[in-house]
Amino acid sequence: MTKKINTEKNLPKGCKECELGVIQKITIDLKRNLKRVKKIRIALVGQPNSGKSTFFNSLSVHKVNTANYYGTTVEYHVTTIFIKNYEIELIDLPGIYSLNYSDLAEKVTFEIITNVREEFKIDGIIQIVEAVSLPHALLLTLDLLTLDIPMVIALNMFDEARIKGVEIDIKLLENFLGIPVIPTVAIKGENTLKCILKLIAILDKSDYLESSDTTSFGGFIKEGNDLFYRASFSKEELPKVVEAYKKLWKSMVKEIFDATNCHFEKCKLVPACLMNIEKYAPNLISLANVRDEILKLKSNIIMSISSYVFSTSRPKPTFEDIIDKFVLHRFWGYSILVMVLFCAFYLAYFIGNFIADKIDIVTDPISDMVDQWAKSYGLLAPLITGFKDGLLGGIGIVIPYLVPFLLFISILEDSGYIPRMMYLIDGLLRPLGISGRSVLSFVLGLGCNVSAIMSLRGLTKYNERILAGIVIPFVPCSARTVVIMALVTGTLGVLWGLSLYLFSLIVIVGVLFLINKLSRFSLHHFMIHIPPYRIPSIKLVGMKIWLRFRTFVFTAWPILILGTIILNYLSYFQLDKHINNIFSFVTVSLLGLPKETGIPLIFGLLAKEYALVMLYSALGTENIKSIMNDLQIFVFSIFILLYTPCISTIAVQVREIGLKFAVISILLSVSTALLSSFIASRMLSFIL
Amino acid sequence: MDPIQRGKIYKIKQIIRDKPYYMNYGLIENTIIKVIDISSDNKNFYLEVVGFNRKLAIAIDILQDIILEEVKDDKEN
Ligand SMILES: Nc1nc2c(ncn2[C@@H]2O[C@H](COP(=O)(O)OP(=O)(O)OP(=O)(O)O)[C@@H](O)[C@H]2O)c(=O)[nH]1
Ligand SMILES: [Mg+2]
Repeated sequence: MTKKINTEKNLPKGCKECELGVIQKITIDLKRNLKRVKKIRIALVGQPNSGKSTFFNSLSVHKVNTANYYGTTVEYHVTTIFIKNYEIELIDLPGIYSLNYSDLAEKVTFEIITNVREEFKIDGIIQIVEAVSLPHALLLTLDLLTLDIPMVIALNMFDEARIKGVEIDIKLLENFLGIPVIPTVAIKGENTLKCILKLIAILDKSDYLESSDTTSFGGFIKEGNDLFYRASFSKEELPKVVEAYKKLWKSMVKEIFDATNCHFEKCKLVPACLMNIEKYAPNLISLANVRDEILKLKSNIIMSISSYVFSTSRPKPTFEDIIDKFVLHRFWGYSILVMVLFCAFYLAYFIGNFIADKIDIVTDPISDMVDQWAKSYGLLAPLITGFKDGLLGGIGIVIPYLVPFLLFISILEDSGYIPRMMYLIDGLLRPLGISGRSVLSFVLGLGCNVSAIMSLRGLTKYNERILAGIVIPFVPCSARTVVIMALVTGTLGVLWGLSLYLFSLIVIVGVLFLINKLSRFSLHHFMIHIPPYRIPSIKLVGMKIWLRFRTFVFTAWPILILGTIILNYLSYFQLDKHINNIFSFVTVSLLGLPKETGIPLIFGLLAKEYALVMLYSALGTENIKSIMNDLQIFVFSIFILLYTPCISTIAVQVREIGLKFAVISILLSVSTALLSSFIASRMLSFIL
Repeated sequence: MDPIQRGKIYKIKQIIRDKPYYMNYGLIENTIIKVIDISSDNKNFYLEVVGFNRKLAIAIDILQDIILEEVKDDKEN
C-alpha cells in the first residue's frame, strides 16, 4: 500500500517544513529521481499505548487498529510512503517497555529492532513517547540508544501534556540525549511528517557512523566506577554520562558474547543479554550484580534527566481520580460494570431494531418486486433472488445490529475503561485459572473472536494463553450478537436475548472450571498499566467501526451472497431436501427444529451471521414466527451460539495455540452446543 | 511492614528480585508510589507511580519482592 504525500489535506498543522510548496517539490523530486530512489526502513518504537499506531495511521492510507489500552498491536504492520527521493517502509510495532521483553508481542518488536529477523534491517527509529510519562519512556530511550540506530523522539500526546500541566524542556532533553526531540499530536497528524523528515536528514548525513567500541569491560568498570556511586548528575555532566552509559552496556554485553556462545549472537550488542543473564548465561551469573548496579545507574540517569527537563503542576485530586473512586468502588464499581454492559446491549438492540424496521419499509417492496420479476427468467431466477436475498440480508439484518454494537465496542476500547474492568474482575477469575489480563481478550471477543485470540500474545504465561484460547470462542461475538438481537430479542423479547449472554457466561465459567480442575495452572502476578480516561473522538470511532465493518463488506458479504445463490439453486433443483435429510437426525430428532435449518447451520460454520440470513432464505420468509415456534427459535439460537467457532476463528486458533488445542476447543464447543440445546429443547417446552 | 493502606504514600525501598521486570513497569528503587485503591478481595491494589505519571493495577503478592517504606509527610501535595 503506498501513499504519496502531495495533497494539502495531508499536511500536518504546525509543521513549517511541510508547507505545500515543499511537498510538491518532494513529489517532483521523486519523479525526477525515480531511478535514484533510496529505500529505507523506519520503525515506530515505543512503550505500549504511546500512540505508535495512531502515528502510523496519520501517514498511511492503510489504517491499523488503535485503542486506549496497553497491547492493542500484537503484530507488525508495514506501509510504504514516498518522501524526497526516499521510498520509506514505515513499520508499526507492538509496544515494548524496554529491551527486556516479556511477552510474545514485545518479542516481535525486540526481534525486529535488534535485527534478529534479518529480512528487516532497520535504518532508523522514531521513538513514540507519551509526553505525560516521559520519565518512564526514558527507560526505553536509553536502551534504544545502545542500538546505534539513527533515532528521533516524537514527544506524542503533547495536547494532553499541555492540559495536564506538564512542561518539558525540549532543547535540554535534546542536549542530554544527543538526538532530536519533536512534540507531536499523532491523533491530529501534527508534526508526524516532520519526525520522518528529521530522521531522513540524519540519514542523509553521510558522516553518521556507528560508534565503534573497543574498550574492554574491565576497563570500563574501572572508568565508570565512580558513576555507580552517584545518585544525581549536573546538567553539564549528563550528555557525557549518557554516552558513558551506552558504552558501559555495550562493553558488558560484549563480555558475555566473548565468554559464551550467546543465544543472542545475531542481534548485535543488546542489553537484553544483560537483562536475561540468569536465563541465557547462567555461568556468568556473577554479572547479575553488576547488571543491577548498571540498572541503578540507568534509573539515576533517568531521574536526573527528568528533574531538569520535566515538571508537572497538576492540582490533586484530578477529575480522573474522582471518576476512579466510583469506577473502582467495591459496590459502585461492580454496579457500573453491569450497567455499562447492559446499557450497551440494550442501546445497541434499540438502535438496531429501529434501523432494521426503517430499512424493512424500503426493502420489503423491493424484495417482492424482484421476486415477481425474477420468475420469468427461468434458470436465472435463483441467481437473481439469491443475490437479492444475500444483499438485502446484509442491509436489513446484519448492518443494523452490527454497526451499533461495533460502535459500543469502539467507545469502550477508547475510553480507558477496559483495563479498569480487568482490575475489578481479576479476583473473580483467578480461581478459574485465568487472570484479569485475559479480560481484555474476552471483551475484544464480544467484537470478534479472531482479534481476541490474537490479543492473547500479550499474556506472559503459556498456560493462560492456551486456556483463554480454548475458551474465547464461547464469547458471543458481534456476528452472534446479530443472531441474538435479530432472532431472539426481536421475537421473544429483551430478557430472552439477555439470558443468552448470561448462558454464555455460565458456559464459559463452567468450561474454565472444568479445565482448571483437570490441570491446575499457576498464574503470573497481576500487573497492568491503567491508561488515562480519554473521550473517544467521533472520527476515530468511525474509523474503527469501518476497520471492523469492512471485513464484513469485502469478505463476509460476498460469501453470504454466494451462499444464498447456492441455496436457491439447491432448492431449485430440489437438492436441499437431501442435504437437510442428512442432518435431520440432529436438527429434527435431537433438537426438534424444522428440517430446513440444516443448510443454514452448515453455512453458519463459515460465519455465524450467515446461518441467520440463510435461515430467512431457506424458510422463504423473514417472519420466522410463522414457521418456527418460540422454543425452536430459542434452541436454534443456542445451537448457533455454541456449535463451533467460525472458520476464521479456527484458523487463528490453530496458528496461535496449535492444532491440538484448537481441536479440543472445537470438540468442547460441539458437545456443549448439542448438550445444552438438547436440554433446552426438552426443559423449556413448559415455558416457551 | 504494616499492610498497605489506601490513600497512603510509600517509597520503594528495595526490590529484592526480578529488578529488570519491575523496572519495565516503572517500579524502581527510590520512586514514590501512592496507593489509590485496594481491591475488594485484598488481592490487588491500584497505585500511581508519582514521578512517572503512571497508574498500575498490581497483585499485593509482589510485596514479597518489593519492600516499601511509608512516606509520612505528604511530599506530593
Ligand atoms: N490526545 C491524544 N491522544 C492520542 C494521541 N495519539 C494517540 N492517542 C490515543 O492514545 C491511545 C493509544 O493509541 P495507539 O495508537 O493505539 O497506541 P499504540 O502505541 O499503538 O499502542 P499499542 O499498540 O497498545 O502499543 C488511543 O486511544 C489514541 O486515540 C495524541 O497525540 N493525542
Ligand atoms: Mg499500536
